[in-house]
Amino acid sequence: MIKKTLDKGINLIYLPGDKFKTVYIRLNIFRPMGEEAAKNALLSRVLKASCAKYDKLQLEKKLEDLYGAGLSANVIKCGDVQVISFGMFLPSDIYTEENTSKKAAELLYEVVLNPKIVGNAFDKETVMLEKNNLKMLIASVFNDKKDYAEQRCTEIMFEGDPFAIHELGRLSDLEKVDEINLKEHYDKIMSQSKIDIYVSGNCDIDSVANVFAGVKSEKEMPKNSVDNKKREIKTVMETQDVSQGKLMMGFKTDIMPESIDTYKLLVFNSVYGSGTHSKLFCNVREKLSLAYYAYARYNRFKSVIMVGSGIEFENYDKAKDEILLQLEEIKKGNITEFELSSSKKSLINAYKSMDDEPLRIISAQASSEILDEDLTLDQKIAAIEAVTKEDVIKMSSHVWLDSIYFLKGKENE
Amino acid sequence: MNKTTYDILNETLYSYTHPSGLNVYMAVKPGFTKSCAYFSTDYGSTTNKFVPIGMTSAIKVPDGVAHFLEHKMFEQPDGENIFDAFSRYGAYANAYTSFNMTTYYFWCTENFRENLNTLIRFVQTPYFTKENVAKEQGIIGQEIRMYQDDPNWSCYFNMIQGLYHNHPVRIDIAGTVESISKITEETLYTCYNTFYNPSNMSLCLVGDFDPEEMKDYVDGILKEASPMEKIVRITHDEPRSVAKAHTVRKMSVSTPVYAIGFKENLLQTELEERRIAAKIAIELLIGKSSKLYGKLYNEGLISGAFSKDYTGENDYGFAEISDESENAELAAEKILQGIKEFKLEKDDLERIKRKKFGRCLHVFDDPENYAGALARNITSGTSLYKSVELAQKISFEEIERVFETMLRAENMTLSEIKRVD
Repeated sequence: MIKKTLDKGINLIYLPGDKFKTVYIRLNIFRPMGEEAAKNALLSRVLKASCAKYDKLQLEKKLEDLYGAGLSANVIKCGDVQVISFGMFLPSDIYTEENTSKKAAELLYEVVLNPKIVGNAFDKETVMLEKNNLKMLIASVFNDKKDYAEQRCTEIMFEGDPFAIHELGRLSDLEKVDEINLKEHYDKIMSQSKIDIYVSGNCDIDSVANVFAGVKSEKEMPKNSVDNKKREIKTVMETQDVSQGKLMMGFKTDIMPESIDTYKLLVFNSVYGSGTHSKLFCNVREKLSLAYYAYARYNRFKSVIMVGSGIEFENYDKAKDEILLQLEEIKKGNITEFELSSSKKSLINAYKSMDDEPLRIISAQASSEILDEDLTLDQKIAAIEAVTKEDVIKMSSHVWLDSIYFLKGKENE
Repeated sequence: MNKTTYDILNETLYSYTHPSGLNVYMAVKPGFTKSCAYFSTDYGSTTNKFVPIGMTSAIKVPDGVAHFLEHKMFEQPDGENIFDAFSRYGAYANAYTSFNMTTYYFWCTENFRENLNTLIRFVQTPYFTKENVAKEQGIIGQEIRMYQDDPNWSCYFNMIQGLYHNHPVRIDIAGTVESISKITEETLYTCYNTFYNPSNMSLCLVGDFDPEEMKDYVDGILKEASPMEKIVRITHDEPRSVAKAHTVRKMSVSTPVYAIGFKENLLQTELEERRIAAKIAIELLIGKSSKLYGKLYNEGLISGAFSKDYTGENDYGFAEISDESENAELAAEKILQGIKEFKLEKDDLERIKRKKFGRCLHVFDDPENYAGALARNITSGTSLYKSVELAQKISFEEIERVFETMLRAENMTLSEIKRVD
């Protein structure tokens, strides 16, 4: 990995890779999560749909001419930070023709930095269309019951905290956005944000980097913080016309994101509920046949572990009790050598495989920037390797249940 | 062993047929960390009537058997859960069942041989009992319920059921809670013995290894078997018409979703050409650079969830256009209008061909995706590599044929998921 700072402060991170046929270019804008989340989500979509040089159709044709280059624009929530991310992927010049990567970089530049402006506003029509599309997208979180249950549980755990907001933002905030205040917001964030560029693959990096040399970037990263306190467990039940119950249990921990102990917590999480070797998979699914899926997912940014499972409505108590029982088992030290070594090996396998997946390195690097962590992949692997059974037991005492959300069907009423 | 080199892709494929009848394929990826193996059988949810091996007359099996069998293969005679064997080496293992295939796979960054041994051993060792079948009915029952609550999945299957009267592609891959309750250990053994014969299977390996050494290793662990005769599968009479032009289901959704299906008739040309021509034709009709897409976008009739695709095997084929929308019927009307007004331009075709070429390269960058794509092509009898060249040769006539045999008003069905009142 090569990291350098370009003329106006923008960081360039380059991952060379002759073995790859694909080139990835990504531009990340780091913003604080909060009221502006919906604005940022809309902005990413508006920029992709209206640039000054090309209308939407022309832009698509340009991309197709660049051997089907793919352009993406979206927002990702990383704790208290929202990343506005513009990405491009295309075949390496070796398989196409000279300068294809450079042309793709120029196109990406046009999209992000040279939008269509009318007076002192974005194109009204585009803002209206994309606003409607985004409204539907935000509303459709409700369609996927797994996502919906997780979002609801997060809201209950983080009431009043920016992290409770969905990564696409709130409908109520979106309502207030128009082509004028969105343009103002755009001007503000382009001059006051930390911006990073990532490039990977076999390309002429200097000519690609050169395209972005004039982009201005702030040094400061928006702050991510954790303030997890024990409180009375909150339980919320809701009913909808569904055939499977969705159980979400939100756990908090006081292991801070910057701490090296997070690697111990990762192993704990894997023993508990990540993978087919885990306690939740083996007991909730395989032994008790209660569910098709039962997992634990650790969110390092906010020091939370979300446990999810899809179950019959009447198995609520059984499933909940089993999930808590398995945590108690870890606390008691009932961890087999197999569980521990499989957990470590599966995490190490995931780290090592990043060598073949530049997109994962890019997103891990963005996370490291937010957490201000400076560990190499090998150091992370070593941290996992060093975790002992005692570490995992110790971690379990730092994890507590905060909230339960259960979505059930109407016939139970 | 055969060795084929594809210069424009810079890829080499090694292949051979093992004495048991198993076809083995190996692609070497120098410098890559991940290795991946797919062990697949030419058997999916659409084969539900067939003559079992050693018998003379056909039987019909309950819906969802192929998928049930997939789940049950992970259980072994000594009570060993096969996931554990993979976990020991940190490998990620899984399996899936589609309309036409069942496949078992893993990927890892170390101990490739040990993991490959596990894969081959467990897929060649069936172990079904009354108890382990009953246990799985609970787990799969929850998997089915999960899909029932998924508006997109539900919309998709209603669309296929709108297209087909009889073809088993209309049956949900996992079956129903009711149909899987009829599955017994005998049913599983019958299906296993018929379809898991090496002659009906393929093994695809992708990673950084020596192919000759790997061949010796694979030959040493494969079970002996004698190649069998071709399995007799009973086909279904399928009328040309669609079964139902419009389906509406009400679900707990905030955003309504729809899927428009077009049924392909007259399946005379080779599958590979049909697929490529269909995909290019759909791209030309309603891809992001098309007039129709632009028009629908400007009228607010396309959302961020818009997608289009073609699915085809030897005995069926259909195009799908889906989206989230409050105005599904209007969108369908405009799409039909767009088909009527469609004009094939040379520039557009050339541009889309260029795009197809660029897009097909990415799959070779990840051993996991590569092995999966290889396995799916082999099961369908197509070639991952040759399709790249074929796409560059697609003619005007072939695109026009897609409009004649598939993209027509009478071949269309509309499936909608609306809000519960």
